[in-house]
Amino acid sequence: MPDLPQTYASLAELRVIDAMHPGLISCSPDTPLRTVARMMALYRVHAILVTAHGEESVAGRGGWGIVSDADLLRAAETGDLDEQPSSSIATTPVETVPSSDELASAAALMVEHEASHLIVVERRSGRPIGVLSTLDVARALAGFPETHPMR
Amino acid sequence: MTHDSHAQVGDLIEIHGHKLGETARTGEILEVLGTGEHEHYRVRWEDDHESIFTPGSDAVIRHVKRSKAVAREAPDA
Repeated sequence: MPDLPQTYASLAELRVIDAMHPGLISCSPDTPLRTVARMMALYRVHAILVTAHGEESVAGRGGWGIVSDADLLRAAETGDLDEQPSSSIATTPVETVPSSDELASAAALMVEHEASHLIVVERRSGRPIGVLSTLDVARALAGFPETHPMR
Repeated sequence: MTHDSHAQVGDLIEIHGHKLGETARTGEILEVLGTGEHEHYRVRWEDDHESIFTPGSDAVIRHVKRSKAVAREAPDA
């Protein structure tokens, strides 16, 4: 585990499960990026997981890929989203973190791997149960403000 | 996605491997979301994790045969 810098002091006592979003939104490697964009808009998320299977799976890590909204923008700039499958731009593998881990160590992992999202897994089973995003960590750093002032 | 009709709860979904030797991945459809070409699903996969899943052309719906309920008359008192 990386040393925790002083800047994560405000995350002390928090676990990943305190900040994560439960549930996974995923697509298959052949799903067109246009559909991926629609899923992001429909569920108001910044990233969609791409399922992996067979030999691509890595024990304990799941072999997942991920497509972020920034990835989509880059793909849309150069081509037709209907013609590009999710696997063509997915980042792999996606790092995983147990739900019982300290949130500070997850934040350090994100920084280390320049990852905006981590897949949260049950420590015992390794089963994926949700996603931790940099926005989730930001919410924790801000003390979990409850509601958007404009809603 | 290749299928002859819309999926129903309880149907199976298979994602075929993209490389030689890759096995298909299978899940059970727990909920049908969206309509028409935007249909997608809440799926419980073989490893017991669940996701809201949008299939691509590599996915196949396997319809599960459902037995029809047989109405029985109550026995005479």
